[in-house]
Amino acid sequence: MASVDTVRTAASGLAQRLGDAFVDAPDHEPPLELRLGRATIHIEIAAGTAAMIMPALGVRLAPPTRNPDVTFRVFSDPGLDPLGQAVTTGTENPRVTAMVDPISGALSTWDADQRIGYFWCSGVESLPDWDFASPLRALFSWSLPQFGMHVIHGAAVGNDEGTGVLLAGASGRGKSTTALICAASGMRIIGDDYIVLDTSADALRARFLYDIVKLLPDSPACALLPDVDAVLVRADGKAHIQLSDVLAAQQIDVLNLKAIAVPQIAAQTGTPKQVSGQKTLLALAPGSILQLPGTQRDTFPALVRACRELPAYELEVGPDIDAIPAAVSKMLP
Amino acid sequence: VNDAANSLCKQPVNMLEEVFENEAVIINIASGYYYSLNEAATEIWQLFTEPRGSAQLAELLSPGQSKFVERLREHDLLVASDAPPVALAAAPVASAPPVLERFDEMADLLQFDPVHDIDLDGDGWPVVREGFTRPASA
Repeated sequence: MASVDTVRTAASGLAQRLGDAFVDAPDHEPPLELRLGRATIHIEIAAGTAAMIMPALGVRLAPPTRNPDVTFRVFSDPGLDPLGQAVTTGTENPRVTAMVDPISGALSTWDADQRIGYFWCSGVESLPDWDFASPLRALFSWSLPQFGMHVIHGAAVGNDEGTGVLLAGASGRGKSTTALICAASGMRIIGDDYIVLDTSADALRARFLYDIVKLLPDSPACALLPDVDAVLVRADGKAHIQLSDVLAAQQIDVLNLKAIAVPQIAAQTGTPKQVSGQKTLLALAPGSILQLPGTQRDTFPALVRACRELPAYELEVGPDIDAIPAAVSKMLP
Repeated sequence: VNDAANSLCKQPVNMLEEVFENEAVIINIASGYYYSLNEAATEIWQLFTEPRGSAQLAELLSPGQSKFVERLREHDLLVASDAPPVALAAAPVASAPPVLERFDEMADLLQFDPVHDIDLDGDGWPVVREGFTRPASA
């Protein structure tokens, strides 16, 4: 077990060491570009890590067209122990944020001055399921606030006019099911688990980030999706479904948010009931800022703003799933 | 009681809070616990925007309010401070019992505190919590 002192020593020179190791990593692929609002992100992939990146991000990635605002470098190297080795103290960038995944040991670092993020793992097979459903989540969470954007735990659905509802609440309360049922009925969908809240303009917007939705195989939403048998049920017991495979026509890049809904599983689908800002923040903030550490000071005010500016509703969702899209639509103008 | 050495203030580190229509939300980003306070509880909580002296609190608060202050201390939402206390004009009228609700569903996810801004003049970087063992593969 790495002691705190060991880890602290190893922090010195970390970015340099990751940079060197990335250059030395095998199988570099051509860089790819992801455009997100006014941010241009280049993702450089090496050593087989495309297997982690492509399911959730591939649909958004294209060859570079411009200089990046932000660069992510993603690689695996089973021989690297980035935290464990002794390091000569040298010139150190004082503003590097880092996270070690407690399950896989994968390391994410973000250098705010250089605008470079690294994701290192010992091998993609060591990664937990969520790294495939929402890859590079820490790097997005740390780098997007400078553009007024925040990765939040929530779903968003809307109408063809581009206005939408943010679905908030802890896992297992019906967010994904509600979002998927709405999309299967013809509404537009941004995502079901992690999406981007864009606060850079006067109106709050939700932006599409990941192409994967996760559902338990017995969710009523599964029956509504075409070809859902073909999806991979991963070790977390959930089906990882590529939205672009099953609901491409319903996907939309951005929705102007008009309401927040907090779904609750109930015996019957009900009419949306307005709830307080306090209750809404309790549903929205903990899952967003406690699961995405390192961004609290930036992201909490954005969530507070959403709870203040948007009307919020509790939405009982029941087995009468045909009633859900109409109930959600009641919250839209 | 020596008030100067015995004031109470809001926990200054790792806390996020917001008050909506007189109802507070408090999040402890270190522990993962988060809290909702009703209006009566929020009124008491907001007294501690400035440090308050224990002696004066004992004098002004009702027994129920004092008990609630103790509860806020037990949850580390209020902490003792050396800051000189700021005099309180009056206690809030106890309209209803103060209610503090704690939610802990996120706390399990925070067995490991993996994030820190690396700042060589600061606290350094990831604090490995007691009992946590890094996977052998890392």
